[in-house]
Amino acid sequence: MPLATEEMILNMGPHHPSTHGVLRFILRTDGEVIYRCRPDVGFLHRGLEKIAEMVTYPQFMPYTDRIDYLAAMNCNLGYAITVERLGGIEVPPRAEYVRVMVAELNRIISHLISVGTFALDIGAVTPFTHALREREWVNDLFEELCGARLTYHYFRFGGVAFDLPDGFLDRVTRFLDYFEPRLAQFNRLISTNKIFKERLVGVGVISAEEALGYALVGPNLRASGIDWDLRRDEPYAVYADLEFEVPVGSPEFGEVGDCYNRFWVRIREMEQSARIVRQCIARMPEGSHWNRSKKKLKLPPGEMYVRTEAPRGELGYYLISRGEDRPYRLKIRTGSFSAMSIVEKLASGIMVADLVALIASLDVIAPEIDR
Amino acid sequence: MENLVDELLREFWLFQRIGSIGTAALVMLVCGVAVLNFFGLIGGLLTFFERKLAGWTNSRRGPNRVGPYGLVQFVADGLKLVLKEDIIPAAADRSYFKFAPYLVLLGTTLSFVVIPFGPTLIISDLNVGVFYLLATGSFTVVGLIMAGWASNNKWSLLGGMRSAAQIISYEIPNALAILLVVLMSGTMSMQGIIRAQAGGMHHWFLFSSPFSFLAFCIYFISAVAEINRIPFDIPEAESELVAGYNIEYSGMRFGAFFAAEFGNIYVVSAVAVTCFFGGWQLPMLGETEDLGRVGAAVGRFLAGPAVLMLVMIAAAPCAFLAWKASRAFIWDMRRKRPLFPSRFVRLNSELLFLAFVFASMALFLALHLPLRSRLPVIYTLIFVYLLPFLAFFAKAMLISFVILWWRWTLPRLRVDQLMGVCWRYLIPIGFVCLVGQGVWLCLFG
Repeated sequence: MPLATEEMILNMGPHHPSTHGVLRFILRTDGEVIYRCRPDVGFLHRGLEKIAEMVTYPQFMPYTDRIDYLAAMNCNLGYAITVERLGGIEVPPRAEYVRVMVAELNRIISHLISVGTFALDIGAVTPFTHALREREWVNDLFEELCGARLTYHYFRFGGVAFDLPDGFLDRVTRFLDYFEPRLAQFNRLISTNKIFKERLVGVGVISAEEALGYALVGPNLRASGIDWDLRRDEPYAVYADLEFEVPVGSPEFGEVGDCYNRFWVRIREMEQSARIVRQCIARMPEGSHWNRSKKKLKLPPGEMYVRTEAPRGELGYYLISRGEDRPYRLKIRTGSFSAMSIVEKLASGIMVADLVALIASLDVIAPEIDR
Repeated sequence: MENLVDELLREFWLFQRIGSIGTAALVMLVCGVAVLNFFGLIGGLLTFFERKLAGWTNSRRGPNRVGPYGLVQFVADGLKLVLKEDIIPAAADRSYFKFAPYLVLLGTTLSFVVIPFGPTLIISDLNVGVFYLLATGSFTVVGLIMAGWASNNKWSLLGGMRSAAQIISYEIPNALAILLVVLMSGTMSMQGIIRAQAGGMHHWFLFSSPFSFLAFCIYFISAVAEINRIPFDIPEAESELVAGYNIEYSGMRFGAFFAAEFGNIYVVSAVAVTCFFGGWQLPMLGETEDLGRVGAAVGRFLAGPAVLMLVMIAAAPCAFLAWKASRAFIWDMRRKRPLFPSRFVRLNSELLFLAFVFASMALFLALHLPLRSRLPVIYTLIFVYLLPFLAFFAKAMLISFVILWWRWTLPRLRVDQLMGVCWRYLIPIGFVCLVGQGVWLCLFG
């Protein structure tokens, strides 16, 4: 006689330790195996798009920090470029290089959190604290630069708020000299660990068609084998002048599109970001850091869509202006939101432990999903 | 313990007055108190050790405030847990919920009964010692599954189920490895197993044949799995099951689970030491008891200075504390500050800790000392108690260190992989080892 089993509805989150912020999943499980997983998002909805219609253009800049608080510089960058393109505001070359440098540094620390919490979700505590230790250094650099450690509010239309302090570039170089060997150490500690590989290789495989179909972006898309990076394919700021490679998922690291590939894409992106920062330091032009205008900013009527490559993929700002000092409508398109949509498809038939790995590998972050 | 009761009855009129049952009860009580104290002390020290180790690997500090080097932190934590509110969920099965942690704790404390800390330092050298250990180890799983079910929480339930599946599976390779040791020593008594490894390091079962070395690996892996430590800590996997079976527990009931976990680390290390590392025998020397007799003959002349040295060793921490207290007092007086109470609380906690250590040691030794009247007390003390105890303790700590070290280095396996390791690899290899060792003993034994 076969044993009768009963489905169990399991509520995972919003205060579950590995849901990266406040996410909720409603799981229908048979013991450990998940039949169906329904993500329930919206716990961190702050109405940012509506707020944008209420405040002036410069006043919205600090709100962009909160779209993805682990990569505030990148969110600032996208918004600044959107407004500048619509308003025809010039950015001095020094500011462009500073912007790219801080954006790439922020990508490094955002990926550090990503791979660190990834390891934590797989059960290894030490890599997480090591990642935080490295991140702390960049936080100190950013604090020196703009006074804030998490939500920087460093970008302005036409440049950046503060020029680099004396000797700042040397300190960034020193950080990179420290960081690159540390990354190799990190790989020895966790990335090449046998148990870690066993847990991730072949888990949560996203094929290239699925990745395109679900509009995955950024590292998640590239891990599925699609070579697409806005920094190279649709260059903004000064990325066109810089040399870097775009890491793409490969069978060398398990199955293309699995959790382990997504992990490795982020690790290799950190190496490339370090390379970009080094180039920015080498080429850093002299001159003004901010083409500052005393007038109150009013954009001409029109529409503008700008997308940039944030750590969690394409970050798009769709701005409609009616000639006022504030947006008529601002739509923010984020990578985590589309990544969440594929969870339901991938989660059926896997185990609870794999779901944790899957969420961690997609690197979703609650404020970016909900906005 | 049985010998102890007999000897007490024979040698002291006081015990003769209270009769054999009364003496046995008294001895049981004292042994129980000593074991519980030792259990608490070891568990606490291991938590301290683990947190320090975590600090070293994770580039942070670890406890460093309460007592010297934060050594007494566990006392403070224990006090905190005792004082915390004991919450029982409304929908929980109250009686099972209350009982479960003590069942887990019981399994661990019962194991301490047969752990041989020295040639005579064992509460009861049962002739089925290892078998008894395997049996008490199974108490834990009943407690865990009871906790998981009674909490009436789905995550707890999953944790309880996982632990049941895991612990029961891993008992098989564990028992196979221990069976191999029984095959080699021809006895199940813990002291018998240790005595079978007498005569120096190369006689230890770890090194005596390739099969026994493999058996140690199997034993160690399955022991780590049995006590739910990373990489096999799936019953309480915090990133998956929040906290597993103990998610609804708070206060001292949680403390009981916690103490049992750390007590278990020591128990499995102690069993590994007993079965594979020669127990309390010193690495480079032969039988320590013989050594004690030789030493007694040679060193009657040195008894006086040796006693003096022991007294000095015991007095040194007290003198140090007194000096520190006086320094603190002078420091406060010079600055005309009111005597800050917390400073004295801190000093007192150190004194309390030391008193606790010495008292539990003295209690345990006092039971045995007068009975070995043929040897001078001091040599009995050093060669029969102190050195073997330290050897055993050091070896057990070394193995515990590896278990703690894994915790902070490795990620966690998935449930099915965990079962795969057990059924696909450990159990077949265990059987092969058992047969291989039999053949080995026939050929070379």
